[in-house]
Amino acid sequence: MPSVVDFSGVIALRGQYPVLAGLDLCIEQGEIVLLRGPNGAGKTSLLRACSGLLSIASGKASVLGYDLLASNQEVRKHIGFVAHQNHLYSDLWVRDQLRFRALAARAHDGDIRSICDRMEIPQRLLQLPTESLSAGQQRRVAIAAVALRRPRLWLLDEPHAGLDSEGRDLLDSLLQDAAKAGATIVFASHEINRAETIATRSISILGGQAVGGTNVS
Amino acid sequence: MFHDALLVARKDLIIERRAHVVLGQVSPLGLLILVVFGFAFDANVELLRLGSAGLFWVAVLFTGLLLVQRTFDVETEDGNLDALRLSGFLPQSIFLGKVIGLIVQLFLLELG
Repeated sequence: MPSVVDFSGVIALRGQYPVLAGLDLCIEQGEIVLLRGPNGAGKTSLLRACSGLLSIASGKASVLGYDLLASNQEVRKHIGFVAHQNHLYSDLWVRDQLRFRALAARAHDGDIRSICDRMEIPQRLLQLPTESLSAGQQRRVAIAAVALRRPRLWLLDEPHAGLDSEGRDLLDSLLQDAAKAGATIVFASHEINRAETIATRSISILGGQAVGGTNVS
Repeated sequence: MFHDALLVARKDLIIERRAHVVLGQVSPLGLLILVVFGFAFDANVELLRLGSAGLFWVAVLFTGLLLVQRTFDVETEDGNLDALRLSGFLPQSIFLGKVIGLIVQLFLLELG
């Protein structure tokens, strides 16, 4: 299996503070990797570095074959990032929101219907402003918007937050199907019991470094 | 590049159509500026006639600044700028889309 994420001695700074401090990591295609660690360990920074949103100061960093030190633009087209924030425009209707994301990803209205069915987003919600949705509904729309891009690498930061039990099952099933189709999933979670049911490998992050990894299933 | 820029502009215009910020906040400001100038010149019709074109563009400048602020506030809310960068849009496409959206809004404002 080819490496999707290949980091060696990666250092990333926020101001003067090293949020990634010589991190070594290798993730292969099709893996579902759980990042675990206390608050401030560097999980979110690692996800942002993989997405090209956080610049890397030094080291060797390759994602999907793109050298992040040379350019972090190209890799972004192939990445789906579900962050703490939902990345939704509060004034847009849900339908407008998903259509914008679909057009940006060269997807079609049929794809919108399909992902709404998959995430059990009812048709009536499509005609509502995003800000009028509950936190859990907004999370489902955010995940649907990312899924529309058909990313090769999924990066998720606490993806289960705000979702009800049914929504969590839907998300887990979506991620497992994406991995079966050849995508790679990297996600950070504090809900270890649930996260370990879908993860194939677990990596501990501490002080901006990967300090240990175990195969889960 | 133009396809992506038009997508960004279209999205901004839909947001404004839904939120009515131009209608509810920016147009009243433009109107208020013109009224205040009227008071400042003490209803001197001759002076107002001479300076009206300049005063109009001063009003457009102030309202334009408000629109620029608004169009980037929309992107900082809920981390949307990150999503826009991850959409694969080139930075120049995003900038061009924002400019097109602003020009359309300013044009509509001036017509009003």
